[in-house]
Amino acid sequence: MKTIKFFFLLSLFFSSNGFTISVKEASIFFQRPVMISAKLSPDGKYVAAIKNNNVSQNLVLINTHSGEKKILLNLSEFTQLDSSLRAIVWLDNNSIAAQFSEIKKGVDGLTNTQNSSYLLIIKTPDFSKQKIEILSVRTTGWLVAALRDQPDVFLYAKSGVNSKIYKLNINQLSKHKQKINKLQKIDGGQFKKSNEVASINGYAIKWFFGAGERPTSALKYRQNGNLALVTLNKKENHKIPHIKTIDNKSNALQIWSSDILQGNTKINGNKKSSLIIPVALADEKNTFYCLDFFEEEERSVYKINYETGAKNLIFEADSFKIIDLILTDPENKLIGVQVLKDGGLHNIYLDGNGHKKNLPSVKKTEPNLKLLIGQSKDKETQLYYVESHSQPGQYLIKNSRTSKQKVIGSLYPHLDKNLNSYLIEDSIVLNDIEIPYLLTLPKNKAVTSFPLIVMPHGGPIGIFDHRYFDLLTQYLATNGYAVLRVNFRGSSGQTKALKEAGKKQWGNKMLSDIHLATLKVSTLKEIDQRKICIFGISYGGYAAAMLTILHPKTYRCAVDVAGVSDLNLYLNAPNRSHLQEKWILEQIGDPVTEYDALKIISPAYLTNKLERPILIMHGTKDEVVDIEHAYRMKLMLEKHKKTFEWQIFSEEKHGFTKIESTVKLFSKAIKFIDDKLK
Amino acid sequence: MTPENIEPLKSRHGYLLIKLQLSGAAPSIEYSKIRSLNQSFLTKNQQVKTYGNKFILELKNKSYGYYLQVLPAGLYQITRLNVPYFDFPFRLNTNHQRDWRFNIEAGKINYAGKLVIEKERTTKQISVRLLNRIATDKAEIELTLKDLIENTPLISGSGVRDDFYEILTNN
Repeated sequence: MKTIKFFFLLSLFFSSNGFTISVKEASIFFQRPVMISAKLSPDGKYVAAIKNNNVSQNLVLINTHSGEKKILLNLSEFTQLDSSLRAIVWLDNNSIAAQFSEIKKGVDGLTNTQNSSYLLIIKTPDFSKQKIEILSVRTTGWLVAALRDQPDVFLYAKSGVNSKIYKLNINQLSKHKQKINKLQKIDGGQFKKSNEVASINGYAIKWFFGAGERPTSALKYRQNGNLALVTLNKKENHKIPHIKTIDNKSNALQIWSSDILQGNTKINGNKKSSLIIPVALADEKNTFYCLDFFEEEERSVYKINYETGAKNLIFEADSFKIIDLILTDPENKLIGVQVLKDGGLHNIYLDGNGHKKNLPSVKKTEPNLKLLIGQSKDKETQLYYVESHSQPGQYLIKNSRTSKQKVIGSLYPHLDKNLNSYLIEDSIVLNDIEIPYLLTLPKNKAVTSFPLIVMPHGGPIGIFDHRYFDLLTQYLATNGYAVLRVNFRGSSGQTKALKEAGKKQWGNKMLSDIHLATLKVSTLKEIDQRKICIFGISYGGYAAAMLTILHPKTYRCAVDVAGVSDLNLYLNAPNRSHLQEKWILEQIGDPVTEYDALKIISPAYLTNKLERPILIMHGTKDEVVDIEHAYRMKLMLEKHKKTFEWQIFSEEKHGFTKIESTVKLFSKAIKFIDDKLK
Repeated sequence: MTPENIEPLKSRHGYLLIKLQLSGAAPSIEYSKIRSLNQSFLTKNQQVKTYGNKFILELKNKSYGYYLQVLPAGLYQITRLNVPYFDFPFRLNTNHQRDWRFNIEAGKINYAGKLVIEKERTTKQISVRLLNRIATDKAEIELTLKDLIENTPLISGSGVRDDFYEILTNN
């Protein structure tokens, strides 16, 4: 009877306000992501996935039909060193290639740490009998083509004074770290002339492949530092397609001098403003799709025939950064581009004339991210990555014929279906600039108006808040707070005008954008305008401190994590490169000529005006915003006898990467905010 | 000179105070005075022109803690760091770099910052930096140099403009 009563009370407790109570605790909410990468086998029967466990990583095989899972490789058993897996590729239905890295400590006391990287081949000839063989390529290089139509072989590139592609047979490789005797050769002696598939003089950085996974051209550095695009001269061999090229101008389609690459070339007295480099092979001979890497953000796609010199601008995004090209397979015809827009990834498809079509507006775009990341050879089985604002990333398998789909893994499985919030996307317009914002609200019918946490992003230039999953936002919403994130001027991922309007506006219009969006949101019936706190990290910490000082009637408290407190100190930080210095002068200001203007927008010098409590947290090993910023705030707050709380993390850098620190930081932050907004 | 063995100040001299966090067999710092008009930092268009004796601060067998040296008043440029370690010789020229300057005011303890030389290095790269840490280290300096500070005020010895400590200590 006692047991029944206990369960009854427990169920009432857990269902009382629509949330699963357990994830409200930071120690439960913040955990390592679990499934971080997944690839579908060519026959669609299996997914190979990299999954984090408590101490290391596993390579896991998942049956797409039954969902059955099997660990192929457990790194904590495989090596005693710090190690990781990345870039998994199916070579055929029975073999998976994965890039494996391990960190080796050097001579004791010298700590000349080295990162060793190998291509591992995990052979799984018979899943049911668990005969898993782990081989490796010991020669430095990289996988360039899986050759899925040819079992047991793949193409591997090796760069040096001469760069070559070799066709390697899996069966001739040794088991990883197995000692080989004098009669055996490294990698089965396969790096030999008869296995060469392509060869060029110079250091290849990219190989381009045409139909049938055949290399057709390469981008390479010459000894003089010039970059060259070269075609590969085909020389048929009855066994192996043997392609060679020589390093002379006759087969170089294009050469970029080292001066051009560094932006030092002048045309009519002005520095050259474009650097158009091929990124993908196009659908015509000697023709490539190219991006301009001197653009502030890559927005223009060119199609260039380097043989005839024909150059066409085939797509130009108004203000969105191009992340990837969408090409047909195997024709290599450009059908679209993937861009960053409105804080999300969007595919823009081109019509027959190369014009963009159906570019959706802000409010009509799909709030859920759904990316096709792989499909079987018969296109029946498809692997998708999906996420939304309240759903952490998930991998799902879909049958394209029946449209049936099922989840096979998650980034944060403990949060799946446990988060209950909704998202409002809107904007304010200031001086003809649209400032978008995202307001996340808890779904809780028992509450009519929620306390608000304003959360400005870090960066601040070139960073943005997106509509997809954000762990911290969801943590705060789960704890009963509305969360406002503003893409104030300077933010990227939106429009060019918004980004450029952020120049030298650190302590001015960026702050007013955040504040005016806060004022607008605070008038909503869902928001309790008497209970607003501001919480930020890095620039967000700076903004939290500044806005609380400037507008004490709006913000009742501030949480300043790793925030800049003295702009001149930040701008004078050591070890910046010339390019970084230049960027900082343009974007923020000059600590020599604009010292006083920067000082009056530095919170450390305004603490006498602070009327609200502030919590300051900082990592001692922060190399981006030095710990000195936190101490300057502390000493000034003490001088002016202001109310503040203080937490230093002795082992943390700027990003707070350790789970235990993250838990401590957010537990303290939420307790502070709860207390101040009572 | 360590805080336990403090040399008295001569006329128109001040103390250079550096906090050390060094890893290396025998690092040393070379620095020279910058030609300036009694300025504690240079303005935008002023070139760094060093003159006079080259000073060398040998830091052999010193790894962690505070280091004091008596120097003539003026603005200084650290021109070179030597950080050899076993068969990995390493030197860094810092001739014109703004972050490698310090200023000495006569009759004061001028805290130039924390000099960090990281242990971890490769044959081509090492991490060295001079960090402005006047607020972070204030309490520790006041404790370490308790007796000296009573008669010789602590100030920021930063070689670029930094008003913080003056504002903090100004009533």
